[in-house]
Amino acid sequence: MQEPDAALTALARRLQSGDHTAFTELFRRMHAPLLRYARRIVGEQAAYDVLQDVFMKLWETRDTLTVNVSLKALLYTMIRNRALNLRRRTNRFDADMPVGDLQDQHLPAADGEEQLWARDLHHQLYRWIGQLPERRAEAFVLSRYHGLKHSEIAAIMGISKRTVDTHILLALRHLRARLDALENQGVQP
Amino acid sequence: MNRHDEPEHTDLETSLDGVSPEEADRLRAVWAAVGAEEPIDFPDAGAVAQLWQALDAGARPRRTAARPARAPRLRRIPRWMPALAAAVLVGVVGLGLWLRPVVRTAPPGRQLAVTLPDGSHVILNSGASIRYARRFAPMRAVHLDGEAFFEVVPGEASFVVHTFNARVTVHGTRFNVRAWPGSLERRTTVTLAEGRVALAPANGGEAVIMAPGETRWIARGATEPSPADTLAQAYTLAWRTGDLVFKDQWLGVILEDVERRFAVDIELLAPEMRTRRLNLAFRQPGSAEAVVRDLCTALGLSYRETTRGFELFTPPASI
Repeated sequence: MQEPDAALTALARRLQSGDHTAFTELFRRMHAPLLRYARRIVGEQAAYDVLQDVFMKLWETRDTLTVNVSLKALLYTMIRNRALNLRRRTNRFDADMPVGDLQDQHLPAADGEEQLWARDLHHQLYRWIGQLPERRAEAFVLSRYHGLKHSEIAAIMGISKRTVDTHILLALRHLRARLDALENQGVQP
Repeated sequence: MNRHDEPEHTDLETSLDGVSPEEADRLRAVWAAVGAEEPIDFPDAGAVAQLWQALDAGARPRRTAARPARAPRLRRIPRWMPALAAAVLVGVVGLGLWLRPVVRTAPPGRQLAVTLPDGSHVILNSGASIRYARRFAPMRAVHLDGEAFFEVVPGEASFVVHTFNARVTVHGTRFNVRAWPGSLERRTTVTLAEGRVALAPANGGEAVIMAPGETRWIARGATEPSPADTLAQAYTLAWRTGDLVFKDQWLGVILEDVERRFAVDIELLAPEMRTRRLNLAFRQPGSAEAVVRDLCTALGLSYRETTRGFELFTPPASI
């Protein structure tokens, strides 16, 4: 279980000494999750810009990297700061994007009434995560889909670990309530 | 400890610390059902390749003492340009705008998420609109026409939702308000998901403090809220998940909801059916026609398509 983090630490060390192949390797490993994370904050198009900026910055400042700090948490923090900055600066109304747009874009359309149940419970849960308050959804996604520790999430989001614990609990409760509601509604008449 | 002993689960267990064993089991099952993979098809491989090209060009190993050149951007928009334009525009019209209330409307067929100046979130159901003063202090007051779900952040000033006939006073909480002024359904209905609100008629009648899970309504002209219904939450909040659920509701009101949800016009050519009461649940219906078809089957009506929607009518007695 330690292995992936250890590999990243090794990469950080090589990166620090200016090893270009380490940079390539890091990009290969991390670009997809980081892009998904950025997309949550700024949307799809800008996510690519954010990632480019962060990797560029990482390369430019590689000699000041502290190997003790988790490289993974550092990357997520950089993405977050950069993405939030961009959102604040360019379009303050991004938050008014119709709900679901971002979530549903890449999901198969829910077209009938009956199909929903077993077939895409997985997708349904994903949509429900999108209805959580933004920061709660963020904490939950980082924990579940990105496999980050609560302590790392706390550092990335600038909140206490205790708050992260609570976000995860409340997110799970929200999802459970949705599931219960779905199970309790018989289709009538 | 329990069966989960992988490291990433110890964090989950911290979160579940203090909840009952039964609930913890249920929540672990939910956690498992969510899965570790985000079910989306993103990023796009082509875009990533393009991005890597740009990055790689900018991050070649240093051969000289010079800093590497910055990577070319994928889209060249001078950064300061929109900012400057915006600044000038804001300067000119800012004052005028400042004094006008903000109105946000969810177009028919869509929902709209709005963040209020105090950070509270509102999700407007299709066709609903909300109005508030840009200067959100000292009062946090909004006027709602239609249906919306509120997540109010705690604040010093209390938060008030005004509808055509009611007033909901809030102190940091999550709740749903449904109040369509022109509707057959002449009432404001409030469902409280979490926290505490006070509900009062707009005409100065007495306020009632609501508890989480309760639904109460105020009929047009009523001087006090209805008794609490603790079972209504499942359908009053259904719109938030894209479902269409009604219990003991008039057909006329149901059709109004379908019209707003799908941005269609529905004509009921059998007026006596308007107050026919129905229970029904559609899980994320894909089209107005899917709903209309089922309604007609259930009620023995027929329908035909019109230019902007559907007409429902009583079929001729015998053919």
